[in-house]
Amino acid sequence: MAKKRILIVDDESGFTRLLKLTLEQTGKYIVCEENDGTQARETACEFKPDLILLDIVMPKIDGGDVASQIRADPFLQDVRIVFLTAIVSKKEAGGGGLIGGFPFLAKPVTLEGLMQRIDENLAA
Amino acid sequence: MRERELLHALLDNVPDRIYFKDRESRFVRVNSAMLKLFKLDAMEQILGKTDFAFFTNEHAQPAFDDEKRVMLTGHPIIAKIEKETLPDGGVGWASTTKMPLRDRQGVIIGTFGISRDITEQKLAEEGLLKANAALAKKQEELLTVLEDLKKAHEELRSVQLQLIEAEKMKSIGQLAAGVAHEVKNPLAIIAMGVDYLSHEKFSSDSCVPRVLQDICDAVKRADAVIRGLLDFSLPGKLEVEDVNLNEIVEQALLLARVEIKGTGFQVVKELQPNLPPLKLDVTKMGQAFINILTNAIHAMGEGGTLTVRTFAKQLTGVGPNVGDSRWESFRVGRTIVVAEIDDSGTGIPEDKLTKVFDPFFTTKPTGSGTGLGLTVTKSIIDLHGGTVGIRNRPEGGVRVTIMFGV
Repeated sequence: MAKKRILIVDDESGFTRLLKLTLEQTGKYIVCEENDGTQARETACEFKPDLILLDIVMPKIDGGDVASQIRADPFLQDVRIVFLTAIVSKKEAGGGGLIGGFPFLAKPVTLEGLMQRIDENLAA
Repeated sequence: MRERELLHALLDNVPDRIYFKDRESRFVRVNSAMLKLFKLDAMEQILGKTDFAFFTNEHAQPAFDDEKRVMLTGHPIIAKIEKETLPDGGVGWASTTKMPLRDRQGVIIGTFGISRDITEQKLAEEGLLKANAALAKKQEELLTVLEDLKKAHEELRSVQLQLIEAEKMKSIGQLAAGVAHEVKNPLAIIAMGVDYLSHEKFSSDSCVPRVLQDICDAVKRADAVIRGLLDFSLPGKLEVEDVNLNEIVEQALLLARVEIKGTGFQVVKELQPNLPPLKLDVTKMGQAFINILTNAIHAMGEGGTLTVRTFAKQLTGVGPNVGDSRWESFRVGRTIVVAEIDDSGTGIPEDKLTKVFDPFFTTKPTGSGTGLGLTVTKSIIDLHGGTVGIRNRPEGGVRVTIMFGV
């Protein structure tokens, strides 16, 4: 089966580096990292991901605006977006809800939870 | 001077009224002061007359009776305070002494008396009494005002403390949100790193997997604390609907039952049917009850009895959170819905009871709880305008009492 292409957009380079290593370790994904939110749309156009893991709270630009830019780009309209966020309460974390219409994962994430959410959204 | 002249000088110059009367209480001799009282010029205008000619009956009759008694008994009347009422409406007060008048053989032939005008003194006394009474009344009013002021002062202090607490909580909330974000990102890196290392064979040391698991568990604990802090700090938007509290309690009991380990537990439900509906956020209130029930179950260790009770009542007496002050949570006379959760655990040390709602306070061993459950619970109940209290039961264990106004 072809590997899925995942773009991680998060200002924490330590986090994106580890996330890339972990996901690629499974053999199921090809992963690209972007630590500057303002470059996220351009990187996505070059990398052509199947799914973007997108941080919400970033300097210069927040994840909501990045998501809007991506949705507005006709080339990227079919790309799935999953938010990764630290600011979510216990109740919201367990709820499986949406933020701004996009599914989200609460940090810190486990590999298992991450893969489950990725696979769910790619299958949908 | 002869004795007679001396006596006349005394009688006519002394300010007290002096008189002599016969057996029929008719005046036989008076002094100048007496003539002056009746506005008379000459002795002849008074001789042979009685008090009835010069005073109203109100004074004359008792005076006549006194003289009769003096003549009958031979005993004087000393310094009797008399009210003298004149036909022209004049009123005076006198201190009167009446003595039996005896002849040379000692036979009583009449009376003589001396009256000192004490009108001014009497009026002064009455004035003083009135002033004292007014002062006493004023003092009583001032004491009442003082009590009201004390009460108002206490109420203001209570409100001040509440405002300070609210500001503190707001600051803590803002701090918590900032801390949560800044801590969760490093935690995310640690968690990812542990996940990665768990799948890598980079060491033959058999302790490595255990160490990695410990790191993972520590990250989960820290994450639980942060999430609890966020629960505590995020703005309390309520989505209320009319609901029977029993529905929330039943649902919470169902979810909390998973905490029951072992077979030594008994759950007793005493839920009053047809409770008046309350305006509650079902999700948030459910969370509050789950927290309380979970705490109760954990407090009982291997087994015990958990009792959950709901009822409605009208407040008829002053008590905790109940009073007549507008600062009390509920006023006497209001209908409330009450939920009580009793456990049969070991109770909470008395000196710790006031701290149970403080953030991060816990009686559980380290790592077994975040210490934020009851803080969040109280926050949720406060948002609904309710109250929550916790106390030790005389028979052992703890009772949590939650009240909502209908």
